[in-house]
Amino acid sequence: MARSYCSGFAVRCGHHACVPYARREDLLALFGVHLTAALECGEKILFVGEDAGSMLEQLPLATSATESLVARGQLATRPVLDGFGPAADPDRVVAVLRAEAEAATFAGYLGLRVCVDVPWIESDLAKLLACEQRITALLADELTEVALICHYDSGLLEESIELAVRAAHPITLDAVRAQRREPLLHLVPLRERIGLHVRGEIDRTNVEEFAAVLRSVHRAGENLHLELEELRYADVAAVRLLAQTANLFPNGHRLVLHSPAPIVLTTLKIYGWDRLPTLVIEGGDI
Amino acid sequence: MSGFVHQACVYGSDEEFLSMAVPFVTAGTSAGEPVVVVATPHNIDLLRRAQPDDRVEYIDCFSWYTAPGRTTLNYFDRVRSHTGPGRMRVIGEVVWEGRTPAQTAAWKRYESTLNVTFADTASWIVCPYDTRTLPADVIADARRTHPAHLGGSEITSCAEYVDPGTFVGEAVTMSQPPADAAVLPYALDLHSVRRFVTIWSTVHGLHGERGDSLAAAATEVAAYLSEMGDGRLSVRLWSQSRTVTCDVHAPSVDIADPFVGYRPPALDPHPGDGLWLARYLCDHLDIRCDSSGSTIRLEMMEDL
Repeated sequence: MARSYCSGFAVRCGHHACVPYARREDLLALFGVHLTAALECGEKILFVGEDAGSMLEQLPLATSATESLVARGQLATRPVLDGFGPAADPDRVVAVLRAEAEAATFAGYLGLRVCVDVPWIESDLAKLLACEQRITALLADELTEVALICHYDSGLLEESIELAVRAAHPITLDAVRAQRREPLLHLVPLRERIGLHVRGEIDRTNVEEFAAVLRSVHRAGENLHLELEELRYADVAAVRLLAQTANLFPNGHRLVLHSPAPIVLTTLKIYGWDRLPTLVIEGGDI
Repeated sequence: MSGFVHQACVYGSDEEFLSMAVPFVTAGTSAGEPVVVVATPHNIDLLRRAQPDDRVEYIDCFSWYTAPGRTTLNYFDRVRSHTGPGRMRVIGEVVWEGRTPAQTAAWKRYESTLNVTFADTASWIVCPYDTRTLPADVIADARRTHPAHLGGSEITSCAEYVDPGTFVGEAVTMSQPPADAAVLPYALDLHSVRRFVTIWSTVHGLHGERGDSLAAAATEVAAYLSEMGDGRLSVRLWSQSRTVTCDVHAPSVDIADPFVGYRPPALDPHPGDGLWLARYLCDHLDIRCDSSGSTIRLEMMEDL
């Protein structure tokens, strides 16, 4: 089933995605996203494109950072991926990807992220699509340590061709939205009592968003319930917000935390906030 | 009586240990003060025989002194829970055997740091040092890290005592990360740091909660260094000798406070109080500042 949108950060090994882009600056920003995602995941990254080398220089990174990544072999550029593009040769592409993946694994990386700015000529469309389909099967079944992200300049594609290109990939990313992380935090008001179901992660970068929603659901004179079993992570700032919220409750009213994760319980305990009389923990094992 | 008292008891025989411990414990229980004895099984056995008393809590020091930060915060958690009159009394016999030189240095800093962390608590901690088993430098430094000495029931001040800021502020030596360490050369946000540390921790054998703990500690360290500087930071992670090490480096930061993360946090935020959690979660935390900036090093023993 093709997915219409996900973040570039959500692309994982085994994925084969396409990104039709309209603006050169989006391609550049996407290369930055792919580089960050690869570094976060401990992967080697290979940028393929006629001007991949110069694009790398335009990324808003310290030159020393990119130079040291290139020197240690975690970052590489190629003008073309042999067999991919004009006069596409699926067997050749598969052999090249295998060799690159093997080298990345041998060097100790946890995967290989290949980002291609696909050069193409209309007459080669059928071959190119056959190549893409072959790669989809390969990544899903065999080369599961490789992610391939194919960037197509949509200005060069007719609508019908762009549809065919999208159809040849299991994942299509929107060139603009893919530049953002998928939201870390999902908050849903509870139906049967006053409170929130909290899913994801909270740290200093999104704690204000959490604080605002918390304020909006709180009703004076009522207990406030937070269902936390799907909150994977909360940093000290987030747990402090819970404690400060509880501390403002008048006696007799409670902030009730349901099934908090071990890290939340540990933080409450070692900061002494589990002793607040207005904060109640139900469920969750330390 | 309130306030913090921290004394060393340098002893060389079972009798000498008991001459301090028995009156210390007895005075505490008679006054209704909580008494905790964290000592070697041998000393616990001695004291139990000499002064049987169900009101005294005994803890084997080998299970208590696991990591300086964690031990400090576990003590603090107990002391904080004491709200009654008088002081909470603790006999705390640090484990020095089997420590590497770096660990020994860290436990010496731990002794000195207690003077800062517990300054505002109602507690009386006596740390026994056995001259029969401990190296001379450990005994000598006991007099540099404790303001006073308790021998029998006699209190004498330690002339060698060094201000904790001076003792702990002495530069920490830190080895260079190996060339093949995993590198996150820049962090887009805190999630970047967490993702990187979680993935590489798992690769190096820290699974589940241990890996999560290192990632949480690294997040707090990264948040602190970002707050203190211009946001630029890099992270390195590697494994050597069954220890997973994570360095967070900020080129633009100079950490002036050697006790960051060792001052008891409050409900209102204070820069660096996230390190209180990092110190608790990790087996070891070191801070080094030099001309290249500041590095905070976190260590976790690999799972067995």
